[in-house]
Amino acid sequence: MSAQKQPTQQFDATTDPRAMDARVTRVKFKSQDDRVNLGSLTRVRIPNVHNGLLATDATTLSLTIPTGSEITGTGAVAPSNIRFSPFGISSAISRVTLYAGGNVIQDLQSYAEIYAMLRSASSPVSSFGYSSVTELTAGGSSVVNGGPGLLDGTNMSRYFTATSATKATLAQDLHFEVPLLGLLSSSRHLPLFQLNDDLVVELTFSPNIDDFFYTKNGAGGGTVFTGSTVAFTNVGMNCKLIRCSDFGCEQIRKQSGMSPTRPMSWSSISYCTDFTQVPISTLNSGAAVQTVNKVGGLKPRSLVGYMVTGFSSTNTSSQIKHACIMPAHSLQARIGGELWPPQPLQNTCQLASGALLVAGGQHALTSLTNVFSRTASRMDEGNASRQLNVSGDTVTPRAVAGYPLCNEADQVGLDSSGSTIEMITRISKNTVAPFNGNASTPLNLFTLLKYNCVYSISMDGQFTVAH
Amino acid sequence: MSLPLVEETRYLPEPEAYGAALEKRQHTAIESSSKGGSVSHIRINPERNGYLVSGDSFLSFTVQGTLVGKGLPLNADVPSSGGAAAIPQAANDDFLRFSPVGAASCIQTIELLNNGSTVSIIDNYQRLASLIMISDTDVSALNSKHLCERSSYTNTRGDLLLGARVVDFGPCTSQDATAPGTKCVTPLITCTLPLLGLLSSMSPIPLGQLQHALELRITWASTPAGLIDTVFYTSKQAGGSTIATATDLISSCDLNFTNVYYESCIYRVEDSAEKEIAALNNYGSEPIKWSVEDYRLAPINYEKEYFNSDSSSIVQVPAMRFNSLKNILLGGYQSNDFGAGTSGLLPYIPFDSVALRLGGIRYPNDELRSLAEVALSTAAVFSNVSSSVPSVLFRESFSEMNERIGAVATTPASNSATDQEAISKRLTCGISFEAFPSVEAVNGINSEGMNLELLTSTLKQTVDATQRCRVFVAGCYDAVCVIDQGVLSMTY
Repeated sequence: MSAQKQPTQQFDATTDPRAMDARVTRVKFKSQDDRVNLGSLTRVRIPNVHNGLLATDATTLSLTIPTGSEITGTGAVAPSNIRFSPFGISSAISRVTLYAGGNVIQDLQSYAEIYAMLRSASSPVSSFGYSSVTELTAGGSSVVNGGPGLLDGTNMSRYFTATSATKATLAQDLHFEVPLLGLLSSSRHLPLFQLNDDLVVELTFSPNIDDFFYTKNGAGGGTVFTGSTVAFTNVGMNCKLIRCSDFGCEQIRKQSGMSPTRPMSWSSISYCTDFTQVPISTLNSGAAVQTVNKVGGLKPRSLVGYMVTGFSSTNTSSQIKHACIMPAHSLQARIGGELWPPQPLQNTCQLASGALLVAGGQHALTSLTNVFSRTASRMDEGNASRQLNVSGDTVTPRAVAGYPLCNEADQVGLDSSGSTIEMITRISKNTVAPFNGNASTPLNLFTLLKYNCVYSISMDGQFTVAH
Repeated sequence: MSLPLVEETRYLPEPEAYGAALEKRQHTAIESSSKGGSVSHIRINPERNGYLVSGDSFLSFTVQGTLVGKGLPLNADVPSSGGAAAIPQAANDDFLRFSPVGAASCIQTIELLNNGSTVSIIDNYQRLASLIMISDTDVSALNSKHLCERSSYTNTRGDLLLGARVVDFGPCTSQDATAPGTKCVTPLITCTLPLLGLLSSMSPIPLGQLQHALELRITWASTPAGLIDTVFYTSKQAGGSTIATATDLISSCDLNFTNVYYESCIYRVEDSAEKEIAALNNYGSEPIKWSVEDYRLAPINYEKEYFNSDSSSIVQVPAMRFNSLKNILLGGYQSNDFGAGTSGLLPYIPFDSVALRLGGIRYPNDELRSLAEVALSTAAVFSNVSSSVPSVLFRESFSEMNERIGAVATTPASNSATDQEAISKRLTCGISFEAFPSVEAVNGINSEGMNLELLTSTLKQTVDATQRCRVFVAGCYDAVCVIDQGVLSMTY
């Protein structure tokens, strides 16, 4: 039996309804510090605005690296040799923590690594143009981000002037507007009007200039940064605030089913991470070495998927700090004794497609929303990703592996509470040029767990989160 | 807690649609050909049970230019004389370009009329198309856009916005053999483009309920002195030319438009379906109404003296009073030709800070000062501002605040001489007034009875501005189309 015939919706000529009465404004809330040095933390307080919603679709972190900042080093610190991280200013943020009323609402440690991993696996190539302007990522005039593997950082020659052979000085302010991962860019606006205290954004900046500046390989090779006066000013949250009417706020509470006994609750995606070090001997081993690494930290109740890659364990200005270097050619997770997937993921195809499914969801395999590349994302046996160790501009490794643990549509993840989470990897020496030289430093194997959490705000304004 | 029943596990058939035939129809212009600055008229007649889906329809036309200048394409090798090297035919082929904005650069005004009255009009259409292209186009869409609209195609990096090479559409003809490169007639360039505003709505216009034909009036762009580079331009910089002459440029451009038609997409529904639609929309007993999005532009002139010292100004923007003003886009355009590698239709921001004041309230609270703030604000007009989402054609080193357009300012750092052939600096500034842009609802600001003011400041640059800047302010607003007594009108 066929369904009843009816005119399709487009033939129903109706005027759009009026949206809820609200006024939008953009306000900058400054941090408590005028100037924040590398390695320091600062806090930005977003007040619980009367009848206000924080629109997470257009709220960013603002900051400036002021003119006059200097970078010193050995070798030629010529402005033309200085590059900015291809992942932009996010590489300078090491931790973002949100507090409300004394409760920790979100804590993203290793922020730069999470950002680099997700950006590699879930950002279309075309998006780098926009972020080259707002975050100074790759994507401006000096990058070839199409088919080739190079994802070069921004050439800073137009921003710096040479003070001496070993010192370069920033000749203009560098302004940034950075959307922050997690709650502050989630799909739900934050009902500030319902909080009983300010929302506090605590930012910890990277201690090292090498985390977001590096020197061009080849002609500039050999330059080592030994110091800098780089600091951050004008740190603050650039907030899109929506001011509703009293009636509007009441409707929001009502629609959310809020009552004195039932808080306003919603689900959102969050991340937790852990590191473990892969020794040089493993990286250089001719025979595959299987390692079982326990993932510390949170054991979420709704684990959506996991992603694994590697990051450089040393601070050196001669390479991009947050290049994603997945050293393993085989990966499998053991969660509560059960293997996910039952057979190990092996080779670039399986490892990369799994990462895309975790980062981008169901249609990620066909939507081309990533910057993986044939030359930069290798995870095959004998040819898995390794650190840059050749002269001249070459690929920026962007190899990330992963595996989804639930369907994108239902988002009911795996309950890992009380379980041990382990990553089983197999690593062997890269035997294919140009990465076939022996590794001279260990790599940090980085595991990211993506999970659903539930945020709740009670009638008396307590903001809590359940992982 | 019960598990949620997800969409993938609901097994229901889609409701069956009533019978309808999709017809593609060509509505040809009354005039067989039109010159730049003149008008083409297209009539779309009422049709029984017919529904015009303007969002799936497009305008098509063929443009040809008669150009006078220097460095224009040759049709044969120029023999050597006096010991000079021969000039091969291909020497000038890279120079002559079609506007990066493509077909829209040829359109000055689009006006839709019914029963002799204007329903919708967008003047300075080419500027609106240019503002939207720069603010809301994904790089990956540029190549397909180029195929239809002949707009800029992307190189491997997506940073240069090169206008299409004119010789790629066919050979240029009618050259002056005695003065090589000084004259040519371009090949016929055929373009198709969807139209912005009411004519891009996906809500079908019920042609059967109209008493009179819809009339589409297209006023073609003219290219007098000062606006010559808006359709065709020369991309070669002086010094990099293979011809050792001064900067190659176009000194005169006459445009001719032929083969103009509107290719409509019309649903012709069965009588039984028409009866259902009539009942659904109460045809006959009350006016038919639906919501659309439309645009209006206001030009503001800033004299060059304004830019040649540290200045600030507050200028009232006319004609921006709407029931629901959704957002504002603005960009400046050069007012005189350079003929030295810049198209006249790429917007730039000649200000150091920008803000709007509507009804006495400033948007945003703090003026937009840095490039990052402007990019963020513009991206927020069209999407969320996650690093992965916005589709703007801004680029580091190609997009700057406080820009001065001129031969000196068109050369960004770190580009090779080859790249300098078509330098394409661009930036727009957008400010949204929508509280909930993702919701299908009218949620802009009611600006009726309010003044909209543009607050700007500028800092003197080392290179003085040499010409006036025309800043175009485009307002996007929600409007309501009404068919009452068989006549289409629009309220806003």
